[in-house]
Amino acid sequence: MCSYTASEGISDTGRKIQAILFVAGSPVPAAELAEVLSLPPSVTSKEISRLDEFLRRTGSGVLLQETAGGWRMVTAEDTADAVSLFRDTAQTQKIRLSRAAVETLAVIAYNQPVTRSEVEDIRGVRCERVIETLLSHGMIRIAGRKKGTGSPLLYRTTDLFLETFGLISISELPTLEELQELAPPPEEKNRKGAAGETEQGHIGGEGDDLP
Amino acid sequence: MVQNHDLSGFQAEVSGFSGPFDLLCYLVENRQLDAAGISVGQAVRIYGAYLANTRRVSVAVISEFLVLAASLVLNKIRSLLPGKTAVQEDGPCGTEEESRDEFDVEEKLSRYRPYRKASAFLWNKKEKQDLVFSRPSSGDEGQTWDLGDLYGLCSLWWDILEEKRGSGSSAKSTWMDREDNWEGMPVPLPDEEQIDMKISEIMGILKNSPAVSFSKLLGNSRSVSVFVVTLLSLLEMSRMGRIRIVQEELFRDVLIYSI
Repeated sequence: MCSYTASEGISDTGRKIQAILFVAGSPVPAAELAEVLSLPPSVTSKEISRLDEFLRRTGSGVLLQETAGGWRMVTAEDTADAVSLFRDTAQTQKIRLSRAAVETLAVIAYNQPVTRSEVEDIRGVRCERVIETLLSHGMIRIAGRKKGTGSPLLYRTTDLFLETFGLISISELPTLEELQELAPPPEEKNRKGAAGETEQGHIGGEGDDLP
Repeated sequence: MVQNHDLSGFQAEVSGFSGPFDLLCYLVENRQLDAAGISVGQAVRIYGAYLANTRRVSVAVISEFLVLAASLVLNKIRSLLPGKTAVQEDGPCGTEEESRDEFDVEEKLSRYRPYRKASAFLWNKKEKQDLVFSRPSSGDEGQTWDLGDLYGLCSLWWDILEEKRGSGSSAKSTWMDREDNWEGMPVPLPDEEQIDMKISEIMGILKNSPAVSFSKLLGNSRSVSVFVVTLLSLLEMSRMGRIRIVQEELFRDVLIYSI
């Protein structure tokens, strides 16, 4: 058994942060932690970093992760096999996304707020069903209407989108120019083999509404 | 490629691909498609017959399909494949239109390609993220309440107001028609002017302070008229992108931030 003590590098404040994040069901912003602990934000941020470093150094099964503008406790990657077997955790907790859904999310994320027709114009395919499904799963939200003919609905990504992809904020995404410089998508090689496969139960389905 | 259909329309599922552009990119880049070997007429006939047999697809869907089939299979693929000179050999009458189509497809694909990479980037992030688990939300926390569609909210409000106006004369006379109940607002003043005045007032408050609560804006006056004008003013200001409206928890005060 491993016992964590103050002498090993975790402070009282660090322990409190750990306890708060342990009970939190969603990412907790550093500002909220600072308010709860009555500490200056800079001190709180330093304590979070120290706790993060401590958990990684000691090989803890749970680690800190910064996502969706806050901090949360997550299991270590190397424990994934065991955790996913525990009471079907993988099935109940993980959102399965189709390629069409991820691509639609990418277009929305980079252009938000964006209308459905703008997404369809970029993707070259009807996206009504994918967008409806993403909405129902809380990955995107309606963010008003665009001025102009028909006043079409505008869509934005949600915090759940950030959490699902482990992003701190939208600004963490590389720019489209940076992406252009990257090598072709790695899964390209596997396309040939995947072309005959059919995946079930994915958000958005593999295809779209072909006009 | 698997085709199926349901009551809401024709759907094409392309296994392993996110959509036709993704498939098109793949085929073109890997030189697996020979445009010369594709009979557009035959493809349209086969799919047209299929759609007609389903008897559940609207004319609009069929027409859209025909447009897509014609443009995707003929113009787009041909113009993307090497050997553009061969296309131009068709003669001067078709050159202008074909070069426009070629430009159109090339422009669309060059616009689409970064998103294809962005999709791959997100896919990799998701795969990595799938290896970690967190405490599931308990349900009683983390609920977000979003004002969302302001147009819809506004429409709903006016519908309710109209309904209230139309329901029973007693209710109508108690608060809608009594001028003295519209405290703080001169009755003959048009609604737009009242809202303009309120917007100026709120902007004045926000100049001195970064945020103000909705209850503070209402002040001691809790009359319906003041509430309506304040709410509409906030919605209008939000639409104009001058403020941000936040309600952190249900039943908590609404905070208005200046942008």
